[in-house]
Amino acid sequence: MKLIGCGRTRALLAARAAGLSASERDALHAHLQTCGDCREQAHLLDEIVLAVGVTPSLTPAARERTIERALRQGLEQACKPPPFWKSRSALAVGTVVLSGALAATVALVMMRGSERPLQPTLVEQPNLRPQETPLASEPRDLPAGVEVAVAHARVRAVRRASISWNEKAATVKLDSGAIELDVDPALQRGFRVITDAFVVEVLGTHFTVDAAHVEVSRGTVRVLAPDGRVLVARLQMGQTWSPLQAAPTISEPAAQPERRTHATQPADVAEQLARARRDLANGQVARAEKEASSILAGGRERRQEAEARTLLAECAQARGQIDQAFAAYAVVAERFGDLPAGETALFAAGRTLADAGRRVSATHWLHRYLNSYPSGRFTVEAKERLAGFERNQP
Amino acid sequence: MQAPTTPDPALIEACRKKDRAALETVFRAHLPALERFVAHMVGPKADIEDLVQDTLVTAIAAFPGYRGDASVGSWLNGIAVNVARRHLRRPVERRSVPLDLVAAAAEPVDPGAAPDGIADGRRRVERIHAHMSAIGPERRIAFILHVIEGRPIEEIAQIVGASRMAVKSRIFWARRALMARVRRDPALRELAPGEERS
Repeated sequence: MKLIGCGRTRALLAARAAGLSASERDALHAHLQTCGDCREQAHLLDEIVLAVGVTPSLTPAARERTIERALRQGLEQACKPPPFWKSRSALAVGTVVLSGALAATVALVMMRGSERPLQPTLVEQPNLRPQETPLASEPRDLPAGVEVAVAHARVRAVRRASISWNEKAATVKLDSGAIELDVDPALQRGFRVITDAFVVEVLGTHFTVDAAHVEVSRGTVRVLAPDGRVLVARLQMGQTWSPLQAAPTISEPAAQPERRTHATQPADVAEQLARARRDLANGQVARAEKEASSILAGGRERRQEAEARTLLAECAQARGQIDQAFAAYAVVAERFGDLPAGETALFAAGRTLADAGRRVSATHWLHRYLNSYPSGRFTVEAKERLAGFERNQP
Repeated sequence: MQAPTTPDPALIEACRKKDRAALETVFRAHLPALERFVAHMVGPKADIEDLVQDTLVTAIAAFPGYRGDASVGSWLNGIAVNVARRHLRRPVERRSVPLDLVAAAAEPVDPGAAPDGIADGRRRVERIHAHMSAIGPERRIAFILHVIEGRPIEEIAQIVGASRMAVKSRIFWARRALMARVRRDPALRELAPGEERS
């Protein structure tokens, strides 16, 4: 039998799962008989394989959810038009530019030949907007996450929304769902969103609207009643208004982020989120709050928004502001129920109340979590907490 | 280890055309293996559901480029490796939700605590995972694929896009670092009283 050293033995120990030949197995066995160090290595590696190899699997409900969400998101992305440089418009622009260049060259050659002055040619450029939106008078359904351009605004469905719009009037009518708008302030032209209950007027800003509330993440908006009465003259960044409440409320911490001069990229936002998490973990709550608020004020993906809001909730919790923390978690749970962050937030809302000793409210929210996610990630803990309440009942 | 299967050409063609039913069939067939694979690479505290979802979304976009050289399972695993790599490169605080679980994972275990029954076993597993997460993503992925998943070096080289030597080296250094960390951990001292000498 071939004898092997400790180095080779350890490589073979690591390769056991991948399969060893008979001679390798024999050599390994023989070495382990005589070498205490390698025996110990083998034992240790077995423990590691056991610890890392046994992983909790997703529940059947979670699997269904994962497949459903992946298909929805993946197919929605597939339906989005390709970037401009991959589109037919790009080909058309390229053709026009090349034709222009060719025509200019030919003209130059001819001019040199005939000594006649060259007449300038105006080449018409097509509209280079990345997403061309046709005028639509009929309501159209926008799946969550889909974005369209209407006049000088970008309209993105936060959740499935039904909208109709008029490009010339720069108006969107929201029939159902929630939309997020980013209105270009450079054109100094107004934009309106009409719901059944109110009208929002803006002049360059970023805000979210659904049938029950308006939330401004950048700039200022004005809210009118359908009859033209002014309901809120100025709704500013960080404020939320609902027709059910008399006065606007601040939904974000008072820290005002700096105005951005360029669109935030998702990668930047990921870095910001990471920084905010680090700050929070290091106890720098104010900095974490500021970072999270600035993420909400700029361009971000929906998942990033959910994470930033969760961070704000955690910051409030770190400050001991239980009500604010609970409210922030509840908002994330409500708006992002289809994301993992929404599930986490719903459980966190119940847990926050439970930790604060508010047993009745906590019971309600933990039951709500269990009803919404019967096989969720925190089901066991939620049940344990509820069982604990029952055991300790006076 | 996942046995390579011959993909049904009609089904794959339908997936390339982003046919929902075909994609769903393929995903359902591979999901259990895929989630296990992802969980091995990123550990139990990460958001497995989210990472598997990211893998599937990427796969939908990438299907037109799938040539059928490898089994669909291996191809999905290749995508999952990239998703896991991105995840592991993020700062530790961002990798899992909620935050208090991360804090618990980073919390040093009381060396004086009596090792006892299930709690002891759970703590040991948590400690090993904590040490595993301290290994760099490239080394960790190679180690997991070889030692835990039992994949041969050649296949790992193909999945991670590195040479065989590079993969071997990553496994060696990952194993060495992990052993050293485990031996130094007082909570795991009963597993290995000796010192790392390899």
